[in-house]
Amino acid sequence: MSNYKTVFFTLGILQIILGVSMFIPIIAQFTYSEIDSSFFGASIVTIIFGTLFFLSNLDHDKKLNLQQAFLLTALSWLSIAIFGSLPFIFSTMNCLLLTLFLRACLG
Amino acid sequence: MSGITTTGSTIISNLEFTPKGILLWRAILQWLGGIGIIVMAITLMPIMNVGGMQLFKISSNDSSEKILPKSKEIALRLIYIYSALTLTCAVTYWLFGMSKFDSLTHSMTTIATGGFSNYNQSIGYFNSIPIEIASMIFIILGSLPFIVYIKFINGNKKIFLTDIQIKTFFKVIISAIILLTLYLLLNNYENFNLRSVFFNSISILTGTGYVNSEYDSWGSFPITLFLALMFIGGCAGSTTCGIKIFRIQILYSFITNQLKKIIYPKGVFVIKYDQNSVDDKFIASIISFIYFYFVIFFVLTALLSLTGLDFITAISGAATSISNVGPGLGPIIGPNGDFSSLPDMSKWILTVGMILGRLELFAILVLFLPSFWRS
Repeated sequence: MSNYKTVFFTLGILQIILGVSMFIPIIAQFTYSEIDSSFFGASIVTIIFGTLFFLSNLDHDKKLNLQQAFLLTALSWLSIAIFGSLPFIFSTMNCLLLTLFLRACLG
Repeated sequence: MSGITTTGSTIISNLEFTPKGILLWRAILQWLGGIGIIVMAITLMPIMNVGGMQLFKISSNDSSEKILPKSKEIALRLIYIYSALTLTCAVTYWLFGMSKFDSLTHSMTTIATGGFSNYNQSIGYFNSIPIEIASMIFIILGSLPFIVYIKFINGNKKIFLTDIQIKTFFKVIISAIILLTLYLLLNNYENFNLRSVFFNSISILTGTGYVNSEYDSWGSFPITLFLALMFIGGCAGSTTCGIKIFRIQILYSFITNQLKKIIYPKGVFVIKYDQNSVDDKFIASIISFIYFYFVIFFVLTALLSLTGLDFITAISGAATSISNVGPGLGPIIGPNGDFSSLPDMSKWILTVGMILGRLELFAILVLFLPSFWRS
């Protein structure tokens, strides 16, 4: 699997960007005083996954061959769609559980 | 939920009561999806030889106007241009009377030609001519090939007038508007409204999906025309989707050459694109792309009607998802409707269609070839 390291490294970076951009809706939620845990939770989950991908593939060789370029495009769109939908999922399901979970994790 | 593919089909039926955070996030997703596809189309797609996109690698390498040496640098520049356009758009909307929040979210989805709006009636909610004109202009700016902006900044000031793709793009827009106007005038349509003709044709052609009136009550010819426009899409290397203008151009010259060959069987005709002759390899890949596009479209339509949708919903749903437009036709998913009442299975099929259409079909389908994994 070592030759796919660049693919997953780039995926990690993309996920971190996605997670950070979730802070913008959080600011909006603050200003319109409708704060809930959905974006916060989604952001944390996304950044954690992104960081894991990022850190575990630090030793990549910075090269993409044709096959990996295809894999990267497909996977990046898929992963952004999945992680980008987390706020929607979290805001529709019962958020109490998640809020408690976050409280437990963050102390 | 595929906001990221800049489609803009919504399954939230009551947008006015949706929290602001969710609305903003939908816009951000579309915005990120828009810049993502531009960067990918310009930096990765030409390497991958997908559906004739390699044409742009060739034309940017051997002509004197070398763009920029490194793809990372190009990507950065694209992000600057994209953000600058969005900011200008937001300020324009705000000056024309949108609230700050609305102007921000709408500008993001306008430049991305995505078409999420904060209101059920889409742009029609504002009912303001300046806002509609501004959004038409920015939709067109978002659907031009972004490589043109880079060339423009690098000093080629006439590029907007000379680029062959842009010329055809405007020809398509103008002929669509003329056709629609003629049809509606001849049929003595009582509420004929040039403003909505302009707005909806541009919005549907570029795959944005903003609407300002119920265009499906205009009659059957406009509906057919809109279906055709959905397929065409904008220019390559922009945020739009669909078959893309340059493929239509090449298909057109391919067909005229075939006709000429019938008259002069021994003649040799070269297909030209932007003064460069086009290799047969590219033509094969472009023709197969267009062919495949329609095969996938019919498969999607068939699958959608298997899930219990009526014909017009199925066929327009398939078209709208593969070309990333947004609203379909018919009473259920039409201009002011939404996708929430569809069965779950149909939603999944539509999502697959969106991703296939967004990533130029072959980029996804090649992953399913066993020989892809064997190398």
